[in-house]
Amino acid sequence: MLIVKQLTKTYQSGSRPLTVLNRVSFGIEPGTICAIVGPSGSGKTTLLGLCAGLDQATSGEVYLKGHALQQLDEERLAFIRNRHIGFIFQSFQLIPTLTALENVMVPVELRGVAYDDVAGKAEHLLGEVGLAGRIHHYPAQLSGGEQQRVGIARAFIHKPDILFADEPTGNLDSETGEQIEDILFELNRKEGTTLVIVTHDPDLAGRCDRVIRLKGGEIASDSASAPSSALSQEVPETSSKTSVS
Amino acid sequence: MNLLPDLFSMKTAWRDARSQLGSLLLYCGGIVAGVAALVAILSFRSDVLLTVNDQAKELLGADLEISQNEPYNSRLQSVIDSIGGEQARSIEFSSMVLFRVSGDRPGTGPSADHEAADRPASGTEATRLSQIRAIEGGFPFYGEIKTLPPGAALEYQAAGTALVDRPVMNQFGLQVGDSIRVGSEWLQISGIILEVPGESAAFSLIGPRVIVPRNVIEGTNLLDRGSRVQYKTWFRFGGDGGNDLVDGTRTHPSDEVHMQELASVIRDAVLDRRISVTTVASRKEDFAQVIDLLAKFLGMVGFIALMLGALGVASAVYVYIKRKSTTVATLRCLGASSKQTLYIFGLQIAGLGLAGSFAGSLGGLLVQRFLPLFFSDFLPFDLIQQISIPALLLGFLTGVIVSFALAVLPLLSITNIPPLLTIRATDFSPLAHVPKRIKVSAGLAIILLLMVILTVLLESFFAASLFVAGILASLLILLGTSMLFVRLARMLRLKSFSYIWRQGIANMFRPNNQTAVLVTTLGMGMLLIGSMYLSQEMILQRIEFQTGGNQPNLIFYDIQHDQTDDVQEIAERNGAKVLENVPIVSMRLTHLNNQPVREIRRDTARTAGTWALTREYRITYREELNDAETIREGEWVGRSEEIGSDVIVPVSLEYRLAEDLDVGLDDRLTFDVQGVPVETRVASIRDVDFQRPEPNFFVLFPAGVLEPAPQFYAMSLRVPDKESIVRLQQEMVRAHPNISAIDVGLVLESVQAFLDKVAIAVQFMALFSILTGLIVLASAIAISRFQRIRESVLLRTIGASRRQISGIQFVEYLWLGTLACLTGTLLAIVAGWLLAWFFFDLVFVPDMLALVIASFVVIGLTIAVGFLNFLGVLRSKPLEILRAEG
Repeated sequence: MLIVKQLTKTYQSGSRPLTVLNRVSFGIEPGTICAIVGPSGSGKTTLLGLCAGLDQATSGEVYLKGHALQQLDEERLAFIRNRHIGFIFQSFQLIPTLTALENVMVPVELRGVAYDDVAGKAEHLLGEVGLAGRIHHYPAQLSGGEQQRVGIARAFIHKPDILFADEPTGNLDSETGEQIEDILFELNRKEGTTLVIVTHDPDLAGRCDRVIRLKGGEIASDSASAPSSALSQEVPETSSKTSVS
Repeated sequence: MNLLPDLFSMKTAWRDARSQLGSLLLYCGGIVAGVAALVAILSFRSDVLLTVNDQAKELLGADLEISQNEPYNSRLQSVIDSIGGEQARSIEFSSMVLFRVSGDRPGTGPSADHEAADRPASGTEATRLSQIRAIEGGFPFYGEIKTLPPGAALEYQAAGTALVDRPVMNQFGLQVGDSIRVGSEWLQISGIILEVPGESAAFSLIGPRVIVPRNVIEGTNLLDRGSRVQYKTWFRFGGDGGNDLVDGTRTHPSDEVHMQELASVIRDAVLDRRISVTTVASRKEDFAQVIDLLAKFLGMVGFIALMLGALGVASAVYVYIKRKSTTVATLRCLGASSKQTLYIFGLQIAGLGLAGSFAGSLGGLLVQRFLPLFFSDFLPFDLIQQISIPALLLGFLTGVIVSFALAVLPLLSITNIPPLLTIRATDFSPLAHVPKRIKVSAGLAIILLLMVILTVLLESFFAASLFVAGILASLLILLGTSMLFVRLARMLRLKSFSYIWRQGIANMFRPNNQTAVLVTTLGMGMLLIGSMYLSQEMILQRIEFQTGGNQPNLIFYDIQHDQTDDVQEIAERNGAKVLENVPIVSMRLTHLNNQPVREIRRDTARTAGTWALTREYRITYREELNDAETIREGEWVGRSEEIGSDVIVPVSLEYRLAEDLDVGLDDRLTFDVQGVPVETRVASIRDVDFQRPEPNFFVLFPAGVLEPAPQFYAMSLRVPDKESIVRLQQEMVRAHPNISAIDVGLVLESVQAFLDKVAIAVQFMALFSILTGLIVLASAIAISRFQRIRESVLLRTIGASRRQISGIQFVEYLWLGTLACLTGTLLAIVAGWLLAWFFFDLVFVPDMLALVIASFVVIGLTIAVGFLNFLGVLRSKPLEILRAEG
């Protein structure tokens, strides 16, 4: 599903280069729930951004469902995100001017699907996350936990192949956080989505199939070694350009 | 490539906009005011043109008018006789009129015995230099002279009475039944003139209009002695009235084309350059030209308001995009293309422009209803008001295009918002991410677009270029000054200030501040109002300057040679000091460098102006130059030999006349001095300050040449007080009715009254700029509210009182207003100084008190608007706001 090879990201800090990620490589099988953990500044969020095609690496390669992300321009990356990727953010990132229902519908509507064809599915998902009675509320009218439930529903609406969650419970109290984790894992189980979670929370990491621990921009440990077969199977040999049409 | 927005972009644009419609509409308030100003002006222009077309014949009062400033010769008279149609004649000139308020009110009236007017009852008397129209026949053929009592205009000729202008009736407390004396004739007033077709109320400012029967004037000696007189004949042609001079056979219908043909036939038949033939079409054209100029000027003021509004929208869009950057990033994360995100917000901004322009157009229609109030004195008719679709469309489209054009740059930055913003919170600065190449191209495209729009509005590419250059220069100066002030504010040792002042001042240069935009818009408004006020002051000052001290305050003219001694004696008896008694000789130019003037006029390669070639010259002679004259080129020769000794007379020409005649030193001019040809040479070219009250002349002869020629005199006097001026005029008009007087103080009052009327109209339009500035201020504060809200809420959360929070806001708006006014006023003073130096030739002393008062008003408004906008925040609980602002 996801292959990362020798990924390096360097920022310019004043006159000195600052390497945030240093030659990181790993692969994730379809259906896996993988946690990326590590202390602040270890490069977790940078790694997530690169894996999801939100940023460009200084060097190295990322293959997502066979697409070489480093070779794609911003428009093609947007297309890949819409087709294959779901996101859950620490600060929810709901669009404040849209209702809960409309927020959830956005990824599918972006594909040109008509309102009536997606509204039912969105309402169903909102029901599943426990917000059946609040579908027409705006984000400002919802609590933090409720907003993250909307975020989860939005992440699953378009049946992504892989879902990236950046500290999904980071802004919530522990009780609400646990509820959100339950909803996330339950939906993921039903949909069979590959899930990559960046987290500080050891309990959350403990519920994952695999934990990659980062330290100083490098992989300090990986609870499962990447099977070499996955690498050879998924990396296209001549993938200079990926069609998105 | 499909350029149309997809369904998702359209839906999201609407969904995102609907919950914030109120604040979005506030952003486009500036556009509303600007478009309203523009639509109102364009509609007003269209109304005037519509009225002119509708009442074209009333403008002239006839189908055709022939006029000449001397009695008709037999050739012209026979042409007039052969034209046929219905005719009316008049003699028009300026003369002193004595107004007498009758002591015996009862029994007088329009029906009173004419004989009574010959022996007016004793009462108070007053004199004024008046515009006399002595009419015979049914003029006006179209429209009517409106009088009080109604219908007096139909009877005055038969009754041998006079119609008198309303302002002078009111001024002297005259009533119908009182008497006037014109020349040596007493006439009873039978009606008050309210309106004359084709003339605006402002006509009265030149001098009161007095309409009398023509035969009354023919009996006086007024026409024989020096007065400048206009002889007119009006024609009305019915369906088959009049003989046709065009094809030599039958009648001519009174349509415009036929009248134009007839006019040129008459000109050819008469072969006299002094004759003026006016048709309805040519009068209409003259009038439309004046209105066009006025409308273009006011249109420019309206356009500035629109520009300011659009600038306000551009800055609002900038802040809006900044606020929306995480939403855009989220959409990008979810897979929206850059085109889709651009369309979502582009559609909203376009919607804003459309809504603002639509509301502005409606507002413009409302202003259109009231605009004529400011111009009623300048219009010779009651305006027909009608909704003008072209004016509406032009104003509306200009609003949409200008607002969108100025918003394009911040809008383009949407495509550069990185999706990474969703997981890494950084401050996104829209313009910083737009490549320089795109910024430069967009800037050039905007300037080009403005040029195109202005060229359409002003119908002149040159004027549009000048205007755009002027606006750019002013904007750059205002922007630069505001940045300089902000830098200075930064340099202040804020630590030594109290907390409230520290915060308030710092708000001006903190991130997301609105200083530059507000200072520019408000400052531009102040610049406009300030410089217009200062120019008006300077015009008045220029005239007043010439009236003080030992300058003349009363001028008598048309004094005949045999009257000079008596006039001088009367003047001195009334305490007046005779400053100058200038001889004046009338003459016409016949040859220029031995080429007849008639030939020169036909020569299209020559640039000499018709006015300078054909006018009647009134010329004086003396040995010395006076204080108003300075030699530019050549040498002043003060004395020459008499005419007839084959001497070429050395004369001096005023430099603009020399330019108009296209002549230089040593060129030859031949004048016809009442039948005698006089050969002259341009010996010198001089500057003449015509704004001084004493008589000055375009052409100056040396002494020794014109003394034997028929001449009259103009006498300038210094009279000690107003009462003496009135008394002296009355005595003079009784003793010598042909002599006219110019009361300089009265002229000054008329000029002041005229300027005041113009100023009100112009300031009304300038008000739109201030209004736009305030609306932009309100919307900018509404936007910056989102920036400052957390700070204020945080302050309140940790214990700041409402007083402290409002104190901080007060200081910020106080500074903003002060900065804007200071910059605008400073620029207005610079503009005023430039005008004084280059145009009015004055030592510039601006009316600082007026400027300071205007500044205080604008500062006060700025604080008030700012405060009203912030009240909502102050009254709400911190948590409500934190939740609402998300």
